[in-house]
Amino acid sequence: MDEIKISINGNEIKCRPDSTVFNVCKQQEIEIPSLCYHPELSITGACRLCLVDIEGKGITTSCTEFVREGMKVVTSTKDVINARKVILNLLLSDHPYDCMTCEKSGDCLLEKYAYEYGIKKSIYKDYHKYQKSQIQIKEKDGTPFVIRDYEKCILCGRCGKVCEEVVGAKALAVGYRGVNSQVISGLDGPLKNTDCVFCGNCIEVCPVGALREIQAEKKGRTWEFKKVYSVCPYCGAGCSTEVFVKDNKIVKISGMENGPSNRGWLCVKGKFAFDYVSSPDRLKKPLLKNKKSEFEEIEWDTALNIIFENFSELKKKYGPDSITGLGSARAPNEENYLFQKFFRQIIKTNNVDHCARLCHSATVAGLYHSLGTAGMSISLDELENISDCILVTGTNPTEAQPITSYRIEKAVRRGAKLIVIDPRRTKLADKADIYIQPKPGTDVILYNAIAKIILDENLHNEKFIKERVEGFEEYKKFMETFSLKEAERVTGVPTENLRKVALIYTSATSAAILWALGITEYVCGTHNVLTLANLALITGQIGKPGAGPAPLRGQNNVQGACDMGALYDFYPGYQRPDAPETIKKFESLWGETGLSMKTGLSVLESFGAAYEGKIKGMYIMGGDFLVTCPDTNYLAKALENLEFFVVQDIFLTETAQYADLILPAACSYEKEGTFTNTERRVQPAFKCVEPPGEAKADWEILTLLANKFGYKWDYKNVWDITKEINKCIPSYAGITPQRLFKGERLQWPCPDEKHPGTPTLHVGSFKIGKGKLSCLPYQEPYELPSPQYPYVLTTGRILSEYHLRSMTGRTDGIKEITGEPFCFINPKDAEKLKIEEGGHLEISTKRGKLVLSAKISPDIQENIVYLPLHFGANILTHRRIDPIAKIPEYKFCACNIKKSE
Amino acid sequence: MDEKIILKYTDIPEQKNIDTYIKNGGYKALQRALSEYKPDEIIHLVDKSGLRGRGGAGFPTGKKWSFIPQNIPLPKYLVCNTDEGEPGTFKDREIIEGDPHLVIEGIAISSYAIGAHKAYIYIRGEFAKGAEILTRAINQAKEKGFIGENILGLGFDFDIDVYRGAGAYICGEETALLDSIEGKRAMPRLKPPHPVAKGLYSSPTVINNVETLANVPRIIENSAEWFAGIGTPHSTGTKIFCISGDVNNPGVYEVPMGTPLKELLEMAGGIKDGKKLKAFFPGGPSTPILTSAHLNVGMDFESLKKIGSMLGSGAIIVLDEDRSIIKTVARLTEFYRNESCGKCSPCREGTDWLLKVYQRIIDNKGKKEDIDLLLNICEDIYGTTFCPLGDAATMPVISSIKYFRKEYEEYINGKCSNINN
Ligand SMILES: Cc1cc2nc3c(=O)[nH]c(=O)nc-3n(C[C@H](O)[C@H](O)[C@H](O)COP(=O)(O)O)c2cc1C
Ligand code: SF4
Ligand code: SF4
Ligand code: SF4
Ligand code: SF4
Ligand code: FES
Repeated sequence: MDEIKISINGNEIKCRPDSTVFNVCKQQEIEIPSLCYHPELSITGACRLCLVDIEGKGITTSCTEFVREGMKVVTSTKDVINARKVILNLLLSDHPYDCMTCEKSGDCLLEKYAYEYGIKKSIYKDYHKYQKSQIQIKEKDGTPFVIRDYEKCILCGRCGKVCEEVVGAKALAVGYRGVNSQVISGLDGPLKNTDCVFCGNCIEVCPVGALREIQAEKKGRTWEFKKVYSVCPYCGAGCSTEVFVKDNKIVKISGMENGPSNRGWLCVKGKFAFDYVSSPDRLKKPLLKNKKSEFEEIEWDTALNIIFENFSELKKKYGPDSITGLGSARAPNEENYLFQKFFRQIIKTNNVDHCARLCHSATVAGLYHSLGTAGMSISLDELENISDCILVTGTNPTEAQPITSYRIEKAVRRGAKLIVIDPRRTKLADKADIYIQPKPGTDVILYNAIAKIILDENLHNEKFIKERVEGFEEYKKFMETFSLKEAERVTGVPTENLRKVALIYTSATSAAILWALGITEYVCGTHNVLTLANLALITGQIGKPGAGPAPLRGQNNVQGACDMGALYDFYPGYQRPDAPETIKKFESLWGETGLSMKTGLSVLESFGAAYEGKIKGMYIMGGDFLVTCPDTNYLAKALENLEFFVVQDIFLTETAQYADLILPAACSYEKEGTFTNTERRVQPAFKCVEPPGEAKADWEILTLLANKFGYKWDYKNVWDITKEINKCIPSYAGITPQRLFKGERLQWPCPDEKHPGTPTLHVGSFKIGKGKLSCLPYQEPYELPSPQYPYVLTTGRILSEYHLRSMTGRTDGIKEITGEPFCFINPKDAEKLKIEEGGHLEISTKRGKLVLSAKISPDIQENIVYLPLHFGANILTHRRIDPIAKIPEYKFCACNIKKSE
Repeated sequence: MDEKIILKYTDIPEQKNIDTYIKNGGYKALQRALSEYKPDEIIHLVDKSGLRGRGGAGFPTGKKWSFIPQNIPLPKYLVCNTDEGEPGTFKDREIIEGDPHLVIEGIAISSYAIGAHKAYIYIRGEFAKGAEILTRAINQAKEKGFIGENILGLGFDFDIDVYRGAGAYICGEETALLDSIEGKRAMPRLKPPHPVAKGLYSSPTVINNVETLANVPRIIENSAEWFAGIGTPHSTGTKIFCISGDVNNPGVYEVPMGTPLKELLEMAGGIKDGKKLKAFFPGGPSTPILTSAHLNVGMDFESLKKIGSMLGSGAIIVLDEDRSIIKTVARLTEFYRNESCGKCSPCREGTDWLLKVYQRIIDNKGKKEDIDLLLNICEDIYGTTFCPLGDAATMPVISSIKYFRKEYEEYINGKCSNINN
């Protein structure tokens, strides 16, 4: 775009022709007061405060005025200042004047401008008695989290805009007319009765004190708070946050303004679900189980000695491979790195794994095999701004990764085509150009069918295949025998609809494929991922901005914990333990000899081995595996079998109940470290508050422990570990503490300190040279419905909750939103079984049963029960795993349901 | 002039019926437009006729149409603005109730000209009867093949929907009106983009007033030159004036543009009870007030502009010598205060403060400074609002103080003679 020239206050300035006068002034650091303008929202032009003088036009609002060649702007003549004062006078005329007790004071734009323009009292104030205001203040309408105090509202319109344009909830709008105008929700009822998703973003944009956090009420004002940058502890979007702290307590949390993945926005969990941090249930001292099976507080030194003695003993008695360690996708990179190092260097076993095994290991295995790099191909910015086709399958970002769903919806509003393929009709399906509802567990055949159509209709990209793909001939041959008719029968999707998908996908310039656990959590999870990679490879929808496979990670450090090698089959940076060069490299880096080359045990294999008595010792660093692994009853027996079991956690979880020793850990707000989000972006979190009691950061505990074992680990802080990671993992080499402190938020690979990071993967070539196509036969799910268990049980997430609710469940508002544990069934099944909305039903499988309340929804197919995993779903699920990735099939098992009295 | 253009047949009750309409020469213009003219030729014709918008702003209609981009793959829409919200205005109702097919024919020809296959008649909620009449007329036109696919066998597909508003003055503002059709709360949109570029459902849209569109068949039937020959050089054609207030025969009067008020007053039977004229709004309260000194000024766009007022919607509100200017303007201010959409601070808050000052004066608690305070508030509102409603609210205040400052002063001093009217 050609630049044009305008003059501001006599200075000639070059700018883009599509900018507003306001934006150009902002770039020039000329301050213009504004109340309704917000950089992430469309122009409102409501407050009329941003006045400037434009030659030939007079006093005009700068935020609504686009620049023109030769335009002459003056930003602060006497008339302009006076006109701005008039607006402030008008806005203040019916404002309550209670800044001295207002929660927003110090952070309120109206207060700031009144101060700057010297308006002590509105000149119109004396007429107050003539006011016949009908405004009713509904400060607390029983809605959790949000206070709406419209006496202070200046009707800037930001809240409604963010709710519509960013969140897509459309829960707020202006109601009534003229001076009686007021922001309302629904037909002016309580917010909780609308489509509000309690993201709190409306609070975030309110320039005055009209919208506030209930949690922060009477907890102090802005100048009293310490503000610390952190990363949301929940999903993989990795929202950057700003944490407000007073007296060692978190008061509230906001999205960091320029947060690369969230651009300042959050969802209900990141914004509000932090009460767990100061919960009285937090572990504060090491606990040892005594003879009476009760936990007794002990000193740290004693605890570490006990671990040393027991693990040494087991090692001597049964060998190093009798001990296993499980890290955590919610702990920072540094601590996962140290955890695997502890097991590999000190215990000398590759028995180390973590919970990503249960969610995205199939993604890692599939992408590593086909593309050589296991990560999202693109950035979230590209998704929002560049991708012109987005295929969303087996993921419900609206609930599981809300920030990403905001961005997908923005892309759709920009004109990107949206394809949703999911057995459950998700909210995004409503916005989709095409929605496909296959039978669950039929992904391989479904994506093969799409590929078949692409090949049949010559929609594949010959040039790309020739240059960058191997195995095409074989693949083509395999596809020749593939029957679309059979696919139609198995998936239940008409071929015609898949043809539409193929056409949209192949005609895009940059098509992205998003998925999560609906693809991976199958016994054929890796194959599912490979079929998606195939699609990208045969069409060349990869290796360019906005295109390619883009797995959405469920926890905030799934990507990082995998990168750090908290995996039984990989050293840090996906270096294989059975490769001599890996062993050599790490022996020299760690100054160690005798590292094990034997592949270790995955999560479920470890528990299986414990069940069989082969694993004797276990160390879990954060993770409630008893309830997060499938088949809880089996797990309990496995844990009982252990000779020595250590759990390090922030709460006394159900798993911890089985431990011999419990170590109290600091949570992410109480320590430092880096997290790698779903788009491979490494982001630091800093310490906000002190841990409770004697709880310690995981890295501190591990360091102390290593020293008990006689190793000289001398990390003085987390950043010393970061530096070691820079040395061990080539793609992290350039992501140094210095750069992180400077505010850089880089995406790996970032091979050196000058490298700007890599938003787009696979450009030009793949890490393994050529991309590999795979020929994948269809495989049925393991446990098919039977006469005794005629329904299919599938699991997933809901927005307000996270995992087993140990964190989210400790915030009152969240409990209120979630309500009683529930599951979804189809109206026809409900009718058949005479179950009513809210009525109770019993789900049973071969392994156990669960009673919950029923929600009846046509979004669920007939004969399927959808159970949010947060409600103890794993009493029901089975243990069969994908032989490649070792991921369990959470998404499919046979069950029966009946009305429960 | 005795030749009416638009209200020619409205006195005939049967004119609503399509057969009568056709008998009186109706739908010939449509036939002719579709068979003899290319779309851009019609735009040219209307441009040449000098037709200007009758909704208030007087924008040249042909020029507006020519802004519709023709080579983009978006549908185009025509919207007939039948919101008629300006106080004292009731001409559009007269047209749609008296001769609905004339409007439909005008919409059809205009849609053809801009390449729209779908038109909306946005009618204010209170016009229940009008909506019914229009709907019936549209159905009749459909039966006869004037609306529908391939109309008159001439290859043009075209449909009309009647959309009823829910009663707010701001719905008449063209962009707020579009929001309303889209099912949103009516609030003016940011311009640019203008509706001709991005209007209804983000597609190019022309919005015209009922009276504007009703002129179009007549221009086709007769000629552009014929139309341009009526009225004044820059305000061509006739204008329907709605005369209300203190006259003997309030009602609609169609006369050539440029007819002086004096003649119109005579047509309306003169001032009631033989009183004298004190003041009048020439085009609804959104136009500055004028006095008996302006009786001979021609009622057209230029002449009124020259003396600091506007033609507006053609709603002449007449005040006799006993009317209280202050109470009249206070009442109008209340109207604007209630009808402000609430979007922007100066209009929302400013109109409320204007009313408060008037209330104080009327409560006999006014101070001398209040007159200047009123002017100050108006100055603050004028030019800073998002849409013209805010500016309009200041018109009666500023102009009434200009001509009747003395009455304000007397009122405040308790010496006003017509305090009770
Ligand atoms: C507050 C406000 C109210 C309006 N109300 C009407 C109305 O009721 N009818 C109308 O035709 N135009 C109304 N207008 C003018 C329209 O915005 C628009 O200019 C007009 O419909 C264009 O048609 P025309 O070019 O045929 O005059 C209003 C404008 C404003 C600012
Ligand atoms: S909390 Fe979020 S969804 Fe609810 S009203 Fe505010 S912005 Fe909208
Ligand atoms: S509540 Fe806040 S954000 Fe919403 S309109 Fe009022 S001042 Fe603006
Ligand atoms: S849970 Fe995910 S989307 Fe929500 S705030 Fe945290 S990182 Fe962002
Ligand atoms: S000027 Fe008045 S009516 Fe127009 S946008 Fe502003 S508040 Fe609404
Ligand atoms: S900031 Fe420009 S009008 Fe509000």
